[in-house]
Amino acid sequence: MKKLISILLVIVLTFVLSEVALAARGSANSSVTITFSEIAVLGVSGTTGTITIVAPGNAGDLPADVQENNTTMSWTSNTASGLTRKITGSLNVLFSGINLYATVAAPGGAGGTSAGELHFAEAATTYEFVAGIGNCNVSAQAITFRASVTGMVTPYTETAQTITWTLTEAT
Amino acid sequence: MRKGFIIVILIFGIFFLADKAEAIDITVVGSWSLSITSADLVAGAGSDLKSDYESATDAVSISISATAGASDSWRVDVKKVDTNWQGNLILYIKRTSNGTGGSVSGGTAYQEVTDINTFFFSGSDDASGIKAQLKLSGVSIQVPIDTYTTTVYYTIVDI
Repeated sequence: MKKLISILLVIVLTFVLSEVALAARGSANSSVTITFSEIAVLGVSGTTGTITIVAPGNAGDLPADVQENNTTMSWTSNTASGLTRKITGSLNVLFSGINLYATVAAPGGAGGTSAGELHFAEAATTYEFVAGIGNCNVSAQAITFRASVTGMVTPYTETAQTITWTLTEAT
Repeated sequence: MRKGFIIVILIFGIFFLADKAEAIDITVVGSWSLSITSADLVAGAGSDLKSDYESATDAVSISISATAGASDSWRVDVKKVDTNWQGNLILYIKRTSNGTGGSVSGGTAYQEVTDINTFFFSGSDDASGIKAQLKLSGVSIQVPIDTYTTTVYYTIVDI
């Protein structure tokens, strides 16, 4: 009987002391909230050079194509899970007698994949130059233009036209 | 009779200890909300987000009260419990002021806040308005768009 009481005392003491140990700790808290907003930033560096079409070397030929690659493109993008972005380009007005083509380089993977050379076949129409852009920051990707004469026209100096590049969510 | 006396002593001792242990208290005021946007890019298009962000130096204010006086020593442990967190993000904390009253030491260099209670700083006596600053590290454009939340717990331990 005496032994039983001792055991019971030890058990009770153990539980109570555990409570005491817990009671020796009080706590309070503060919250930390971090919001990652959507980021889609596109930039073009450099100045597009003037494309000059010169007379062909051989009579009867059309003037040779001219390339221009003075500009580069950079982009930073993040997306919600499962979504990607794309880079589109649109030429406001077509050049008379000249087809304009462009290529935007891309690193692949989450940085996006280049569609290669595309023809601005219609004015004010968007063409998809880079697709599959995920969470990435990509810098100094070459933009290459190619001007190709389609037929002889009266010599002219065209007012500069504008290409609008857009980084937008892919649908 | 002797047995009864021992039991009475034990019960008295237990209540005494319990009362002593429950006396000390901790109060925390403040929180930190951070919004990361394109304005946080290192150098505009093509660049990554800044890696590190700091809260105000007084983002959190900690007060210790109801101690038994200058001879009553305590320590504060810190840990976080995540509601929604991202593996690349690392949270740090440091103490930026002693507050008023009491004696406070340690915790003045940034230390990582993990999921396990870790010693933050210690002291004695009542002390109020002990300021703490938080830092977030590991931010990059690779972190998916979302709102990440964690709760930082400050536990006072009577030592």
